[in-house]
Amino acid sequence: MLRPDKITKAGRFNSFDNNEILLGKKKNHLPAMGWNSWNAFGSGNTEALTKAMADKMVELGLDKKGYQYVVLDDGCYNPERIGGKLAAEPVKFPGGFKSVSDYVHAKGLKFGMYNDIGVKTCSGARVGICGYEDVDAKSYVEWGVDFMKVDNCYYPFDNATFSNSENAAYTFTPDIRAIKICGKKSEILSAVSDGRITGDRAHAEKDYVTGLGTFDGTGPDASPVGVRSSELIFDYEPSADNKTDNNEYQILVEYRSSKEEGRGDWLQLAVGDEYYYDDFLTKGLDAELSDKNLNDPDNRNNPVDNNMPDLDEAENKEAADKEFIWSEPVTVKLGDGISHIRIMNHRRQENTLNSYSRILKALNEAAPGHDIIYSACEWGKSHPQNWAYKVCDSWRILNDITFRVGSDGDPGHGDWKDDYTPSVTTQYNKAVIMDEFAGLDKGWNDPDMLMIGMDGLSEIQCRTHMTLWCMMNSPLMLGLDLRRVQKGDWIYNIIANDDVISINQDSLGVQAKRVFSTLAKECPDKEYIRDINRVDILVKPLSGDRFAITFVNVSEEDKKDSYSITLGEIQKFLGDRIKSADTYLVKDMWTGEETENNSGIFEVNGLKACDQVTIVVTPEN
Amino acid sequence: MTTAAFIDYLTEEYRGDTAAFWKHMMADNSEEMLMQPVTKKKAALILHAMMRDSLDIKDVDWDKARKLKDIYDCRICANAVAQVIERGLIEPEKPDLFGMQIPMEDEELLSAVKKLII
Repeated sequence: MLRPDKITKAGRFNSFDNNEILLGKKKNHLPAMGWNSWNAFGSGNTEALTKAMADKMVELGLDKKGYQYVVLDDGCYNPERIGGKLAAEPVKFPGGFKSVSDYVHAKGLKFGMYNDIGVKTCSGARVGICGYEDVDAKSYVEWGVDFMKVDNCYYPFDNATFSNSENAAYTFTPDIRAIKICGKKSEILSAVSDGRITGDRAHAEKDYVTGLGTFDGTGPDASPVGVRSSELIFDYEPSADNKTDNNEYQILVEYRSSKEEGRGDWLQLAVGDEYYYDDFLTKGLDAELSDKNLNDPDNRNNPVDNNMPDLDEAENKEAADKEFIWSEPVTVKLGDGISHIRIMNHRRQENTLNSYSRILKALNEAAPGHDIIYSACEWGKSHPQNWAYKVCDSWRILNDITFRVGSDGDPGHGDWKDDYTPSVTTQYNKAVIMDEFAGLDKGWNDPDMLMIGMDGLSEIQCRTHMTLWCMMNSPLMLGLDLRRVQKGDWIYNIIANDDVISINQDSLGVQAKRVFSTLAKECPDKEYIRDINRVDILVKPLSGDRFAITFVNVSEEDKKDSYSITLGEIQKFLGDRIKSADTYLVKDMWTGEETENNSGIFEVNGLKACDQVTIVVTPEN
Repeated sequence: MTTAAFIDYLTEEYRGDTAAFWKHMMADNSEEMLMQPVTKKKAALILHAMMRDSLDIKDVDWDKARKLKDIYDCRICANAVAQVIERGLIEPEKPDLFGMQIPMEDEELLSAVKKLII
C-alpha cells in the first residue's frame, strides 16, 4: 500500500527554519548553467539532437562561459519500465543513456536527467521514481548523471497535476468545529471562539474552521513571503475540575472530512513540538487512495477527477452537508500551566520534502560522495522556498514559464506578460522578492528556464530576461535549438555576455534585492507587485566590495522619467555590504562603457519598454 | 475506442504520409497506453501531433484557450489542447474547463478527425 512515510523531526515543518541541511547534501554551489531539452524540443528531444546541442555548446564556446550541464528533460524514457528499471526510448535514444552521457562527458560537459516524485512523469510515462528510488538511483549513477531535475506530476500524496484530486485528503485537515479535552471531567473548546488561527488562508466559517493546511503555491495569486500555511491553536490550561494527577488527557476532535483542496482528512495533533497524532481520521482511506493512486491514474473508471472541482459540484455539496462527528480519543500529555494544542496539517510540505529526500538518500547510497546538482521542479506548489534548501540546490517557484515549447524546426513561443505563470514578468514578479530564501548555504530560487530564442520575445525583452535571471541568481538553463545560433548574432551576444554571467556566478552568492519600485508602498523588497506598469531597481552585492545595479522598466511602454538611487538608500537595505567611497568606477554590462561617479547617486534618464540598464559599481578610495 | 484504434483511424482517414506521426505515436505510447480509452487530453495530443508531423499546420496564438482554467494543469498537452480548441476540433466540457481526463465518445473522436482532415 502506498502511504506517506512517518516524518522524523528533521523533516517537520517546525524544522524548516533551522537552516539544517539533511543527508550530507553538499552546498556552496553557484547557480547551475547549461542547456535543457524541454523549452527547445519538448518531448521530441532525441539522442541526435542532444549530441548536436553538446557539439554546439563547445563550438560556440559556451562551455568556457560556464554552461556545463546538458539535461535530458521529459520524453526520453521508454514509456514503461523494462524489468522494473528505467530505459531509454529506443527510437529517440537508440544508443541508450550511457552513450549520451559518455558523449557529453567527452566534450568536457556534464550530464543531467529528469524524473518525477510521482508514479509517472508529466508526459505519462510510467517511470516515476515513487517507490523505485533505490533502483533508479543505481541506474542514474551507472549512466554518470551529474544533475537531476525532479518533477511533481502524478504525486500520490497530494493533488498534484494528474494526480487523483482526492489526494487533497492528505494535505488538509478536516473542517474542525471543536475539541474535547477529557481529564477528570471534560471541557469542550470551540474552534471559532476558543481557538486561534495562525498563518494564512485558514478561516472561520459559521461555527467551524476550514482550510487548515498549506495552500497551493503553483499559481501567481499569492506572495511567497510569510507563513504559507495555517494552524488552529488552543492555548489551554486545565481547569481545577479537569486537571489530572499524571498530566495525561484525552483529546477528541469534532470534524467533518472531505477530499478536496482546503478540506481533507489528515490530522496532525501536537502539543507544542510533541506530536500525538499524524494520520487520516477515516479508517481505510489510506487503502482506498493508495489503490486509486497505484492503479493507472489515467485509466480510472471515474472520469470526474484530476482537479476538476466544477464537475464535482454534487460531491462538494454532499461533502458540505455531511455531519460533524467526533474522532476517537488521542492521549496527550499537557504540562502545568498553558499548553499550546496544535491542530494542523503540514504534510503538503513535509511529504514533498520527504519524497525529494528519499531520492537523495538513494543517490547517496548508490554513489557516496558523488555531488549531484539537484533541481526540485514541484512548481512552488508546496512553497519549496521554505524547505527545499535542506536537500536540493534549486527549487522552482511557480508553474511553467511557457506551455508552448519548441520542437525540431519550431522555436516555440514565450511571452513577456501573462495573467498566469507563462511569462517573463510573472516569474520575475515572484522571484524578485524571494532573495531571503537564497544563498550559497541554501540554494536558489528557480523562475524556470530561459526563453531566449523563442518566438514572442524581442531582442530587448530577451536581454532583460537574461539580466534579471542573472541578478536573481537563477539557474541559467538555455532552452533553444543552439543550431540556430552563430557567434556574434544577437542571441549569442545575449547568452554569452561574460559580464552579466559573472554577476550570476559571482562568488559572494547573494541574490539581488529590489530596493525600489515605482509601485511599492513601503517595502519594495517584500511587497508582491503584479502590476507590470512600473520601474524597479535591483542591487546585488558582489565580491571585491563591488555591487551591481539594474534599472528595469517592467512595462511595455517607454518611460521618459529619470530614476535614481543613492548609496545611502541602497545601504538602508544592504548595510555594510555596500561600501561608501569618494569615487566609483561604473561599467555598463551591456554597452561596456566605463565612467566615473563621484556623487554616489546612480541614475538613468528614461527607459525603453521592457528594457534595463545594468551597471557594476566598484568603490575606489 | 482505444487510443490505438483512434491513431489507426486518423492515419487511414488522412491517406497521406504519416510516417513521422506514426513514429511519434509509437515513441510516446507503450502497448498498455495504446489500449486505454482516449481522454480529451490524449485526443488533443494525438490530433496536434498529426497537425505538426504530417499536415504541417502551424500553431496559432492562444485566444479562447486562455479562458480554460485547467489548461495549465498539463504542461505536456497545454499547447495541444489550445490548438484543438482554437481550431474547433474538440469542444471544452464547459466554457472555462476543458476536462482533461474525460474519456471521449467515439462520435466525438470521429467528428474531430473529420474536422481536421477535411
